[in-house]
Amino acid sequence: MLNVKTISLAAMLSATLTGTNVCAYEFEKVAPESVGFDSVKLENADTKLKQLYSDGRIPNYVLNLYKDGKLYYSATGGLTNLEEGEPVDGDTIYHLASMSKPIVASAGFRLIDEGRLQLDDKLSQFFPQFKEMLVAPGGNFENQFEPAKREITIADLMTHTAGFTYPSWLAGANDVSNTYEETGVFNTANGLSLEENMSLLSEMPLLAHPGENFNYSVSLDVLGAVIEKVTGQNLADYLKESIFDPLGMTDTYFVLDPEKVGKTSTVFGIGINGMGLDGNPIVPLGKISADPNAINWKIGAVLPAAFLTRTPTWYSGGGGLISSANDYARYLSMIAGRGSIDGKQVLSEKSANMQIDSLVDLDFEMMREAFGDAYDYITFGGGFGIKREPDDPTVTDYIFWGGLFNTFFWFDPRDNSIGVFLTSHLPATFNLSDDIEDMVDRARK
Amino acid sequence: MKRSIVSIFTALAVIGAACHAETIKAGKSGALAFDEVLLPLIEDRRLPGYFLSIQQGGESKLERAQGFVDEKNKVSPTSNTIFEIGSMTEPLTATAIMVLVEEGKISLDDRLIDFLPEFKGLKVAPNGSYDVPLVELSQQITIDHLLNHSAGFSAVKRFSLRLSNVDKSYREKGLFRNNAELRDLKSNIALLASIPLIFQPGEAKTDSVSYDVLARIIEVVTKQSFDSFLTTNVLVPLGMLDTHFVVPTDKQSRRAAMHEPVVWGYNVPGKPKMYRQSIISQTAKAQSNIARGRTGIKSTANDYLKFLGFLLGEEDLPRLSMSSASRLELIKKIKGLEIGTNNTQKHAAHLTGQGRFNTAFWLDTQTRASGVFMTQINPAQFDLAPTLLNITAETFKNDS
Repeated sequence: MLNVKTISLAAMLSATLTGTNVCAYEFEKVAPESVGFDSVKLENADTKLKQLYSDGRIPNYVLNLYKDGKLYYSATGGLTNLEEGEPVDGDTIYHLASMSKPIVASAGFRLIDEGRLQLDDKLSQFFPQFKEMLVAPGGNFENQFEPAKREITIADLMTHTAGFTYPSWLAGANDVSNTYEETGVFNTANGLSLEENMSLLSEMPLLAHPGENFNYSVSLDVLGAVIEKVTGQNLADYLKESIFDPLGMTDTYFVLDPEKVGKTSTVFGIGINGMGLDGNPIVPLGKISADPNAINWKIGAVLPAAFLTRTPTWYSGGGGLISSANDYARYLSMIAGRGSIDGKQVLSEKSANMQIDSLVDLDFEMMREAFGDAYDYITFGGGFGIKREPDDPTVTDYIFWGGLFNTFFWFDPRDNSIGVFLTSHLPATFNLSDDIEDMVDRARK
Repeated sequence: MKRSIVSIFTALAVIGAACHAETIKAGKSGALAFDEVLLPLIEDRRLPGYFLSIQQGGESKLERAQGFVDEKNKVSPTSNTIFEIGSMTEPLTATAIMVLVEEGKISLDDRLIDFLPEFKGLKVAPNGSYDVPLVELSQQITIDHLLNHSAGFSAVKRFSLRLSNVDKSYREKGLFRNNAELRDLKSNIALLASIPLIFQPGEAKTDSVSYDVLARIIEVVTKQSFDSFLTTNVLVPLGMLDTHFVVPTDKQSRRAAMHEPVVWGYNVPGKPKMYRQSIISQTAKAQSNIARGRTGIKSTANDYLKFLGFLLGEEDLPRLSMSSASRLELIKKIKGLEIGTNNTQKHAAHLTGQGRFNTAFWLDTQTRASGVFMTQINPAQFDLAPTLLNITAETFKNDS
């Protein structure tokens, strides 16, 4: 009890000290050649992104490349709000969506480091309503429901193997995902508390037995609820205290400071089947200035930056964070440093390694639905995807993940080089991660 | 590399809501122009496969088959593959109505309540909202209102947190719903009569279930099931013998597999498929077999071209006797068909339509050319009909 009080006092103090006037962490800028990359070849990545931008397909972009704590390449284009707002750069704030997941998994590992949580703890220890779950095999209500063969564990939540799913617009239609969509469970705009979302979720059958299949899911939202329960703090406060403050990530949070709306990227796109996340149609903007050379925008407005200043009724560990490329690179630098950054151990080496080593003991076939044709060389760690070399599955090509707004990051465990790509496009239409990573790989001397 | 980037953009140009598609510039014509639009859909793995067929003056002019209709068994699409055509059912329903009009059994001014008295208590919830008091109807719904989607009914919509009260009622009552209790047309329409309209009859137009109401009127007037009346009086006379609500067992192997778009919530290594095969439950299959006026028909490219030939008044095709005046009226009434002039063909009446599963048709009265595009993805991803109409009109203008 005393322990909890001390922690919240520390959180309050750090909140007072950090305030709103703190400066973003500044990476030292170096020439690509100084860290072993060819600056001319790196331009290929910018050329590709510039083409998408000038064609009116993406509203803006930031591609920042880091190695050994230094920024060695930055390609940017566009403004925060199409032809208005500020030019984007490594400090521009973007919606991370699913790129929140690795961070929330790290927060879980912090609790494991402190002995307050175990990977094999059962979800029902924190939320008893998940004690006896039913499974609708394949997500089909016509199949005979089965009692879950075992309980959901914390490890299942980290690796999307709990048997949860997402609503059908994201996960594909089956009876279980339709139920998620119908009820709006864990929809960020559903107006429910985290506790209410958990109770609603516990009433829905799983679509697979825990540990038996990989299903991309709300499980990091669930882990967020577990973190709140264990710490007695809300997820926003705990992340700030355990991760953002120690790493100097001053522009990463769930709720945007209204003063920072101008430096935050508004979301544009073509929507899901032409619709925005609120169910309203998205109208491509075309030319918005009289200049004959103006960009002909093929995208419409999806989510204004100002929307992010609202305090949600629950903090989404699976997709609610906003951040900048530089902030996110600080986080990845810590992971690349196996938990250590600037001589500080933020996460134990063991936990950092578990996040980026395969934690799923599944047939690769199980990854097919989640990764398409890449399924036979993908596996999953604690919140991170792991891409093996297609011709040698013992070698990791890169560690990666991305977000719904077409963002992604990767780092190469061989030299700990990091790439962060941010834009604001709904949905993740442009499958760039492989191309861009490959271009950067080819620029390596 | 450069070429592939260009083709990605061509494909993306047609994604999205139906009203926003970019149309091909005038002057693009010929088989290559079709390929330029359609090949990237397969190359970029946005569709599993398609079949395109174009006819002019009752003669087949061009056919294109790409990809698969069943990837697992490597089945290629053909002119006889059976596809679910979604709301491309509606023009056939309208034809059945016009048959009854010609026979003098009904008239376009007839009132809905004279056929279906359960609609007598119908009221309007302005903009679909229950926050304001319900309003009495300012005029009765007519068959004409139903034909042009101006009756005031809404459609069964996808879940969203912003659905209007009326749209929520449609869902909550399980109207024509896949995972709801199985109901025939009659009970669905009885259910519809208990939900208010979203606007006064004739006041606006919106995509709606009004063709289901028309189908039910046909049942009441003819004392036959809609399926049986449509088959006997429209499909068989037109020679559309592979067009069914319930596909017979011996033709099941000719059906295309249903697909759904994949929304990647994150970038995936490689070039992933943007679709996957849908898992259709037994109840959903049973629901899709219910004969409705709005959707539910399964048909082939060959069959649907016969229907388009009939609309254009081709002589050599199997005949459904209908006066040319009625036929023209029919073309005008058919829902979703944009009648007017297009930029490349001044004063030519043309028609396009698209179904929920991304099938499309188009016809151009000037060149007498018409075409169908068959694929199978739910919901539709590409607004192709206007583009394919333009290329068709441009390609065949000198032959007319």
